[in-house]
Amino acid sequence: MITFSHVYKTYPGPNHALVDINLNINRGEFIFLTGPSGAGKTTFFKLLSGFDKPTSGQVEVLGDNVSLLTSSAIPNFRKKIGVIYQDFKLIDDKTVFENVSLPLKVQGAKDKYIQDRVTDVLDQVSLSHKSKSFPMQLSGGEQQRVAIARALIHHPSLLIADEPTGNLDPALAEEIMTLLEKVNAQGTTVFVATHDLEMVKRKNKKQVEIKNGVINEIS
Amino acid sequence: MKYLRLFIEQLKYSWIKKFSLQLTTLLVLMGSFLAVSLTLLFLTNFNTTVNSFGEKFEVSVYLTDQNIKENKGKISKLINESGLFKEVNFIHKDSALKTFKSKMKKNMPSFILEEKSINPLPSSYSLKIKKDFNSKAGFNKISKFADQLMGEEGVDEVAYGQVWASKYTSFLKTYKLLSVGIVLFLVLSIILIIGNSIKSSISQRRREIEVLELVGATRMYIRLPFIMEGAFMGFLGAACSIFVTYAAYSWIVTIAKSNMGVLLNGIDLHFLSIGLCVAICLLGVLVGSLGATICINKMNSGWAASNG
Repeated sequence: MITFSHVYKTYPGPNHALVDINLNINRGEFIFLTGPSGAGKTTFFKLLSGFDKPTSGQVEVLGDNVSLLTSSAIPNFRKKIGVIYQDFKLIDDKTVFENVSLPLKVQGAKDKYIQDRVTDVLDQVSLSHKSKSFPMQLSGGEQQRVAIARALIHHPSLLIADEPTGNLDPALAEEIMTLLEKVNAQGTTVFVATHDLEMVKRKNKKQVEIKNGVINEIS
Repeated sequence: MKYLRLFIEQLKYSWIKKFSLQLTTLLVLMGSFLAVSLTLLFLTNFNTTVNSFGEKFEVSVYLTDQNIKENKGKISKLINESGLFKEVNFIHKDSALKTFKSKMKKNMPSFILEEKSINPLPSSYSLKIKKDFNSKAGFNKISKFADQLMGEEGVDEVAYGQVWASKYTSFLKTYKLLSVGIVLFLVLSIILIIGNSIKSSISQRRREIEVLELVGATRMYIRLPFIMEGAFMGFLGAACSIFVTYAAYSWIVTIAKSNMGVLLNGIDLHFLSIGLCVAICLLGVLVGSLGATICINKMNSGWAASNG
């Protein structure tokens, strides 16, 4: 499902963000990507979610070779994945319903389908009662749950989360991780970048540790 | 339909969130289009007025008194064959004198009133030029034909207001060039104004654009509402300017007719034709979308969200 083959990413400087990364992830897995700040987690995440291209090597995600994606092919690739950010990336002047429905609107889905699907997914993240609220009226945990709902609305095969609990207190972080585990249990591959090692230990999932741009350990 | 809905959402967003900025932009656009409309209005009326003068323009061919019957036929044939004139009138010298007398009345020189006086006026042809020759090239043809006539036997003189004709055509040409320059300058300004307005819309919605990219929106999906907004602003600015120009035109014509009726005698003023009004609105749509397109050209590279 996800294959990294001899992937290098070098920024001007030169700054070697990733060095000879080789990795294989199967459908339905739950993986933590860990490592200290500046280790290359964000670069790894960008390559995985199609927001950057490797300098050399191959990144294959859901059958697409990210290295070869053209600008016009990127939107289609992104429609196959769900992405969650530490800062939620919600639109402040749109309601929860409007934020969550955005991927379906972009895909040109019918209004009735959008209505039903948003209701379902908000129910799944326990936010049905907040559908008319604006992001600023929600707590951090609720905002992250809206972001998760938006990432799940179009049934992605892969959910990528970059520090999804980074801005949340431990209780809310636990709540979000439980939600991600539930999503994984339904068959979605979940890839979480985090530096919260305590939580990684507690969850006992597959872990990929990255340090100085090199994969240090897979456990 | 999907894009129309997006465009309406975009428009509502821009006008609700940044009403004063949108209004200012619209007013500036309206001012620029007003200058375009007024330039075209002036050009239209100036052309009509000058053309009406041109249509009254006449060529007089004065004949010598010798062998007038023989020469008349030959000269008449030459004039008709030239194809330059829409009306050819032969004025016999007796008829010219009669007209002269009726016009001069009491101011008639005494020597003409004497019984055995000689008629000093020549026979002549009065020629009205065709509309097609009411241009610099046309006047050149007339000038050439006049020179040809001057060389004919029986022609004493050909008069057609040579100096006036030359000044008229060169002034018309200069004014038209100047108008084109003004319109081009204004069009460039409008492109910049709309570009800046769209730039402001983009910066307001940067976050939303980034999220749209994240969820797989295509370039078209993101860019088209902005281009449509630019086109709409251009159209609105142009349409409002036509409305204001019409109001100003009606007011000026009313004032002018009541206060300067004599001066306006013979001058037929017209508002811009429907075709020209539609053309100005289309120009608005065109420059609006062009300004927006230029402005958003660098937007949504497909990787923009990663730079956020």
